[in-house]
Amino acid sequence: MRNNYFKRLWHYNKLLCLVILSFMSISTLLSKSPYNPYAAVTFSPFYTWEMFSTPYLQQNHTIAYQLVCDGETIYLPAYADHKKMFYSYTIGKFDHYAQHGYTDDRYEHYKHKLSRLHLDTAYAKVLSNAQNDILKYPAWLKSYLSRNLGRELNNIKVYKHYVHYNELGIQQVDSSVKLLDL
Amino acid sequence: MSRAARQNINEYRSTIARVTMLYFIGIFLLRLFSVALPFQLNQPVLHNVNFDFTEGIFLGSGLSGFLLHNVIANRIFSLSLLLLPLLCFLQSTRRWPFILFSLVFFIYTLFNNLYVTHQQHYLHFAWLITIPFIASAKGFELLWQGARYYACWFYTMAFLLKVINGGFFQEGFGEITIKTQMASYIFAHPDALQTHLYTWLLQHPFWLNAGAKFTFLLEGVFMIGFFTRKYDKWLILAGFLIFAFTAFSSDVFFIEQFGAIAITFTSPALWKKWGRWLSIKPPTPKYDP
Repeated sequence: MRNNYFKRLWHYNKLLCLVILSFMSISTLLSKSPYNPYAAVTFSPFYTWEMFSTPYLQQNHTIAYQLVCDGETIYLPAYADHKKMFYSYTIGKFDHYAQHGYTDDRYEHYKHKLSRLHLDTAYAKVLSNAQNDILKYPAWLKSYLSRNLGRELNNIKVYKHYVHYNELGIQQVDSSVKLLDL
Repeated sequence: MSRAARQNINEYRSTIARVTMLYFIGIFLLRLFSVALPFQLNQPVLHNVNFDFTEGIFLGSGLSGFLLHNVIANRIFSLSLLLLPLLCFLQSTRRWPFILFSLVFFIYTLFNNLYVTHQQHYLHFAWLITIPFIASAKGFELLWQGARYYACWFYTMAFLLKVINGGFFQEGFGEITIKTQMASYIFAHPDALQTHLYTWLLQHPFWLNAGAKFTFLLEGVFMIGFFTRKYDKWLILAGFLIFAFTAFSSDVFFIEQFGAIAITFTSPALWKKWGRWLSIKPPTPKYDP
């Protein structure tokens, strides 16, 4: 680097220099890539921006979630992402758990990882979501949305639509599933 | 960076600290009005460790549960996110408020990512720029410069990973991104102007696919930052374009990331101007030893 940044850093504080070099090295080692055998776990605050780095798999349809609050479909644009993030991300997670019988399928993965790290596998229960909590999600979503939208909601529904785009680029619905109705 | 420029950065430390704290106040006000601060979440029932070791320790230690379920701790935690940047702004020449804020903000990044059930990595870079303010004068200049290099490094890595993992070479990448990432928006707003624009672009996918490659290359240009500071204002523009294109095509809003980039790539000359605007006269008062 220009003007020997690391040389100056080394002279100023050797420990700090090593910390910074380790920070960048560990972040690199943890980069998710099929060619990287060390990318098994992440370690906040070390990170690399690997999202959107792998090619998409060709699929016949994609998924659109529809949130209906008292008969009104709610979906905020990107600039209001902060307002919607706590329900938009969690709806996807809930759908994932619903597909696995309302259980957290990562329980077994955590157990496996803990045993590889020679740690007590009982922690897998803490790291994954309990079925009881997953089943409480619809009630939480309703209460959070009431607070988020600033009005008491009587009913919320979430649909999952399988969609594709025709040759004119118009979205077409292939089939729909009701994820929750409360 | 020349010796004079390095000296300048130290001269404007107080200005940089104040502007950075205004940025954090903005972040937390945005989250307050978005009903996304810890006390506004109605105690989420789902979490996602996402194979993150630190998140696992945070959850396993019981600290996350304490901050979520203990009403007093939850309120103090939320309030401190709004008040600590203000305290740092007012006490910009002292180091201890920054140490406290840096610690609390790091816990917040873990808390947020755990309960939003998604790794919002951009918060980690926002946290990283709090570190230089806890250092002495000489350390500040080196760490501030280091934060800028780190930004160059992670954008460069983002570009290289797209090349290594193959996303860069998928011809229809931009088109598929719109189809998958914007599906829920298009479904909910079939008659919106933005949806009509997406429809037109899907009929002319060249622009989407070329746009995706252009965005990847914008990440790659941060490599220049390792060798010179001459093009820093253009790198701020590149950061803005990455932020804007990602918001348009992927339904995300990484304003925290763009803000942190704009701050770390700002030139000493501009800090001088902002110092005048904030009525901070160089040389700044002496910092705690």
